Amino acid sequence: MSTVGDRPIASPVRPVSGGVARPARPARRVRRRRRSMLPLFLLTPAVVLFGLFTIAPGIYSVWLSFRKTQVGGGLLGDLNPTEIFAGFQNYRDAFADPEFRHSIERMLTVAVIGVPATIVLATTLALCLDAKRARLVGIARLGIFLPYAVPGVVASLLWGFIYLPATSPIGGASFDYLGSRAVFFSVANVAVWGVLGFNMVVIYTSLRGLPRDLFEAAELDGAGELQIALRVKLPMLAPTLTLVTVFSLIGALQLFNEPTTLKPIANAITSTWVPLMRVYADAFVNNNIYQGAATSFLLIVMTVAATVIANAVVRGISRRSTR
Amino acid sequence: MRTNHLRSVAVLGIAAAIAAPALVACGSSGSTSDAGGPVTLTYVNWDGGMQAVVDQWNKENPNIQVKLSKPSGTGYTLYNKLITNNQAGTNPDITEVEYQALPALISNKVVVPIDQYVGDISSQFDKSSLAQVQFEGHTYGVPQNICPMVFFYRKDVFDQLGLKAPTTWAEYAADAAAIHSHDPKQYIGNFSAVDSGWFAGLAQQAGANWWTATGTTWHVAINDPATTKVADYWSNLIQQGLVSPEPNWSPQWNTDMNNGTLVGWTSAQWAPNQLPSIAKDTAGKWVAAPLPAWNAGDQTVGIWGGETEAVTTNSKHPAEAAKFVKWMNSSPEGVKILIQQVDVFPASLANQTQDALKTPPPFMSNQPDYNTLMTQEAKNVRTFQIWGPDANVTFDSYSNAFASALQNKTALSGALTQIQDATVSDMKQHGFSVSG
Amino acid sequence: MTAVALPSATRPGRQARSRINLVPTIILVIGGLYCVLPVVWIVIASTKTNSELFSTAPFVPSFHGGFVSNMRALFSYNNGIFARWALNSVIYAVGGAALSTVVCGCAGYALGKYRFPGSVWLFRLIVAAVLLPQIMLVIPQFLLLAKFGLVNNYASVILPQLVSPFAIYLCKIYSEASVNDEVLEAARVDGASESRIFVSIGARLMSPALVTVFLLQFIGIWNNFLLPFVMLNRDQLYPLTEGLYGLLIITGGQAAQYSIVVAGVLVSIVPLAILFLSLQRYWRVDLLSGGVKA
Repeated sequence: MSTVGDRPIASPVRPVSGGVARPARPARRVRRRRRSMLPLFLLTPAVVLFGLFTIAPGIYSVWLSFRKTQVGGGLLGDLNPTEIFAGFQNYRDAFADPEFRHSIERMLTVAVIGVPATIVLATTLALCLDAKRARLVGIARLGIFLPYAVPGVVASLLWGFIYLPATSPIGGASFDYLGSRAVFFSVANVAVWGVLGFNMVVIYTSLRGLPRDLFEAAELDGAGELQIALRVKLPMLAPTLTLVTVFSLIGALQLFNEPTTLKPIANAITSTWVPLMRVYADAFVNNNIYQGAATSFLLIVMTVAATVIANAVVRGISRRSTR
Repeated sequence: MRTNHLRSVAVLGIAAAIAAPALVACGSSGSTSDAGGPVTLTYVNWDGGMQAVVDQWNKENPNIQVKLSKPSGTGYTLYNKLITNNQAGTNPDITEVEYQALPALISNKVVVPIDQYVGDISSQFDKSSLAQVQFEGHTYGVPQNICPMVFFYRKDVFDQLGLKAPTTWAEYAADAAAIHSHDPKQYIGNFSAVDSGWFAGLAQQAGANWWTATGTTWHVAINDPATTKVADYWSNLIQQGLVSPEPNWSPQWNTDMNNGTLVGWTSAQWAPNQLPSIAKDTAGKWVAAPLPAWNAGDQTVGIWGGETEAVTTNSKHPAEAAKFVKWMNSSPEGVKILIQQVDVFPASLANQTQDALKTPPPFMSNQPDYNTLMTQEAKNVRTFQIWGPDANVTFDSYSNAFASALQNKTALSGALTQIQDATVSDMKQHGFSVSG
Repeated sequence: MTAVALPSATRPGRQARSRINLVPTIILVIGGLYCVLPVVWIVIASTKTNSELFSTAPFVPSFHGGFVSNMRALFSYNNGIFARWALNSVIYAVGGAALSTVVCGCAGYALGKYRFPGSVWLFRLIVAAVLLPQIMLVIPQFLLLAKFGLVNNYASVILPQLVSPFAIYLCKIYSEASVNDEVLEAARVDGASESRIFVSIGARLMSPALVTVFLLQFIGIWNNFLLPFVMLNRDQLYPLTEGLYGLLIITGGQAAQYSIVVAGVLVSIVPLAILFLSLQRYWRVDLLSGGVKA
């Protein structure tokens, strides 16, 4: 495909369609001169680093999941520890362990509370930001985005103090926020708190990008603001909502910071409360990176499955509502 | 505006790229020395007050300088880091290690025997202390302290209620009931589901031996009758609501200790070192008494805590490192600073009569003979014959099993079986030979 | 709006045009309060001494000099290592984010503006990496660097964080959307080399995305706990996250000093908060949602 035949040759600087930025058409460039080495040069650092720090460790981790150590002779086994092939034993151990299944259940419980809460709250807030004549918008947006600046571990510490009966400003003395039932909500709350602002801003900017003439048309037809929000804006936000849901789901499946930090003050949280804590305990406390690798890999498989399903479900819902 | 941003980003990037090699060079690990010049050793320890010990050594040993560093994790988090870093060769020369974790570090070849450097230390320590650092004929450390378990109580409250310090566990239960019925918001103490060392100490007192070894075969008995007895006793107290379920050192527990909700603490020798930041307002109100016994007159107690220093495999100067360890934990001078700055009760027999021990820790100023009591209790100490090679798995399982037993209000003895199973299966998985 | 008069019953809120729209405003205020509450709490808590922390009412600040003494204790702890930790965090975050912006920006531009065999699959592979939890990668990363003797130094914390799939994704879609092919084409026709085009046109047009990437990476690296925790063995090299965590954990002789931790937490949040507020305008989060349609 030649560059000349692609499109009409226009004046150099003026964009062809008059002002609105379009995603660029992928343009095949068969040059009359030598093909540029620039893309290769630009990509090399990223590719090298990616290979070194993501691909290689990822593969190594999978490989480790099929290995284990055996102690050597001697009472303390220090005579000759070796690493041997373990087949699927690490995976079998994970499946056989009822605690692992429970940890998945608990993680899902937090997810079922946290993910819908994040989506619903973020969407509601975004719609409110977009509402006509809403006041204090700028400052609210700032405040809601603030938690993003707080490291996960620190956020859990903060909320830990807030849940503690001794220091709680929200009645922690009478209600056990860290009791065996409430703890799921409490953990979910910390996670939601941390990501609410970010998701809200994503949805809001997407909202601002929607063509406003549709809203005005609806208003002309007599639709109230709420109706417009629910019937017009929401369906058009479907792709963004899908994105936000998928990322929230991935985050929920990788729940770790919040329960780990709250653990010292909550009897209800064990050291393997969610799958990633189990991975952490295996890898960082029990010196069993092999088991940790196997469990992580299982988790990744689950995450992929969940995101594929979630994607399909949300697309299905949004398609139905736009009909 | 955009150009400026771009430029500044580019400048930063280039600057960082240039600086990076310098930063790489900045990092270093382990010990250093010039040929024949002074040796620098790195030492990791999390106890407060250690700097004074190190400073004194450095003053007297210009050729062997020790640099103290605080780890970002304690206990098994630190030990595991040591195990992982062992392969990279970046471990410090000397590390603090609790007695129960030493076998695991040996098993992973993280620490080295130091017999050749410290010589025969068997005359300086009692049998149970030696058992903590010697395995299969080699010595891996010099015991720093003995931490007999002790019962602390608020004498003022007890006096008010007409109660005396319990001498048996039966009396403890009776006192618990008396205190609680007088004020439902007061407790004689708490049951800590996260402190496995604490529970292990109680099991030791009852005669348990969680691990024993014959030749190279292990035998694990965590749910033996002795330990089960202890578990059932506390289950009973918990069920009746006579002890608080708050874990030690939780903020809630701190508050309770400080405001009189908790009027007793089954703890160990080092408690006065911790109490100032736990319950500052109650200084001078606590009294230490021997731990209640199962049978009247029996003075056996278990231990909770206690550590030694060990020399790592990564160390390039094991001789110097061992010299420091020996000085710190057995020389009169080193031990004196440990007593004064870290509130240690020395395992080293000769040092148990030091003058420094004649004054009580500041928090126990109301009990001048505190250390005399400790000396006496130290003689009554009974520990496990040996700690297992995967005690970390045991302890981890403890906090999970006991915490859920507390939450679900089930018997603690059921948790023991869980811990037993987890420990045995982990050992077998690693290839240890386990009998029974 | 419109000249057609409609019965006002079907237009709630239409009565007084200048009246504020209450419901959304209230919801926003509640949302804002919810998000700000814990941060306000920490500010107030940092004014209290250790014992006041547990004995006084939560939202009432104390004016008995607690703040000053906490700060003093914080910065003198362990020979002033907190300041060192803060400096380290700055080094990691600024250095790492800057380098990362360069690396990811270049890669995003290359993937967005050029088509070559495998570019689509490469991009998909990079984005798929988002699924890998950090925990799974951290120890193998450590073992890898250990082989080259590169652990326990600044590089060991910076290098693994340079490539962010999300950042590359952002740069790619932004370059597709905002770096006009026609402009590039014109420059080519004028005889400029590809690299000249990239530096003077492409990168310039991409700068909002680059700023966003810088900020995202800065925050990510600043907040990262696990990677420094694994890579670093010397407290002189710790960033704030690891230092604070250790501060809280260390027991035995120095029981958890909550008020110092509270002060430390406050200090670690403040720079980020300021960075946010001052660079708010340059946030281009619309890139994220816009990219979905692309």
